[in-house]
Amino acid sequence: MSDNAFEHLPERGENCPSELKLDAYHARDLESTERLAIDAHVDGCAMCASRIEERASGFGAVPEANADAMLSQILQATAADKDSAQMQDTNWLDRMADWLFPKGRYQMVANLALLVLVFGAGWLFGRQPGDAVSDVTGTGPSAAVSRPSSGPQPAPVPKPTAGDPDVVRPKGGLKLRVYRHRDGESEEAVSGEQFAAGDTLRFKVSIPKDGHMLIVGVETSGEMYSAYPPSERQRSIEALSGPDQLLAGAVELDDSVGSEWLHLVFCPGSFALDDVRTSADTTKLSVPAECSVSSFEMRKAPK
Amino acid sequence: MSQPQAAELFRDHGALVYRRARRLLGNHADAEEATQEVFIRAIRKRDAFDERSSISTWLYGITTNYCLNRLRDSRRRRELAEEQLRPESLEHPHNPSDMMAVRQLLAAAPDDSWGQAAVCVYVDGMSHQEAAEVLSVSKRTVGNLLDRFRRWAHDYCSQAVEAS
Repeated sequence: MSDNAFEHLPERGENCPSELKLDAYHARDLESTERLAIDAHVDGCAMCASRIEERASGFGAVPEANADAMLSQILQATAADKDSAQMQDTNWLDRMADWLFPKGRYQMVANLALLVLVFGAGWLFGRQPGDAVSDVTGTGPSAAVSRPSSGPQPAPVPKPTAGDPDVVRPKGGLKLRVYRHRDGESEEAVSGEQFAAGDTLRFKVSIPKDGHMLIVGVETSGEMYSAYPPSERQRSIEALSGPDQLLAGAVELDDSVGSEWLHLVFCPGSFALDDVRTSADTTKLSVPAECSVSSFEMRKAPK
Repeated sequence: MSQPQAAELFRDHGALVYRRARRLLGNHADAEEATQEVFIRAIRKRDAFDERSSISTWLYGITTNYCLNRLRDSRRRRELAEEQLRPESLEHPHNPSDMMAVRQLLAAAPDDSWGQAAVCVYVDGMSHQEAAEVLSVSKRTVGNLLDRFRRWAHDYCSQAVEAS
């Protein structure tokens, strides 16, 4: 095998299985019907027979790769995790205790109320915060309109649960993802897509480190509003680090048309909507130092 | 996950991850580092594997994201930017120099989800359905992401040609 063999993009016929499919075949991850279909294809396809052979050779096909050294590094790194796990557990419990039982009586009542709201909203929407993307059905009642004055109250964004899809985000990877519910169907929307009045939105955020977040909506006119949390408070909420955290509550779009932007603003400390400024063309935000932004465009069209 | 289980996971899937990382990153050293990182992350997040997909699909997703992040880091982007981008190479990206062009695009794509979809479908030749499983999104979303990537790539290549 030549040194740069892996750098070639796979050339294959239209009916040849993808790399993923052949990897699953090799790893015996396929169901029997799919496996039989690939067996039949490989019998008549020399190219795919060669691709299977390459997989069967494993690291043997790559003399420069030192599999033992790689495995040793992996085991060392993961063994070190276990040594610190108990200490981390203790720290986590301490932090939870501090949060639940702060020194101020009113703060404790407020925090307990937030817990009820977070899990209550999860129940209303038929799922818990942190559910997988494909499970978002958005069939629950929408809690607010595009410039809501009521709805879900600000709540600390929960840590992702074990059920979250495994997504490794970029370093410092702040990310806003938008899910749209329309005509009984829900799916992730892509920035720049068309939206219509009555569409119901839910948000997922990836937060790089513990801090504060606010989703700022910017209308075509340039007017800003707090899209999340949807409250008159117009102030950031606490956000804990973690990928793809589903925010409680939904937002229903009004009937205005034109290009609107949603900007997820993340800062190390608490901030207000007034601390953020929009550019003349509404596509960018000016934010306080050390803050970062992930943006999403909605092209709102008449229904 | 115990050490013997971790070792078994690596023995069963290590070459798969390495091969994929090398195709995306383009050299042995980066691919070896990527393989180690992917398995460290997979072992640490083993509880997140919900068994709705296969282990190989799960590892595919982690490897894709790790490699895209590597391509997008500033040092790597500078290295890739020094290579000449030839738009016509995107029509038949089946050799190392053309793969370099693909890497440039993946590194420069303004939205990481576009890059993920592009890798699955254009680099790996997955169907939209397969890509949807790997990315945990709907098939229609995959189509939307690719559409956005194609339109952006067209503009990006046109600007590169004008600049040269």
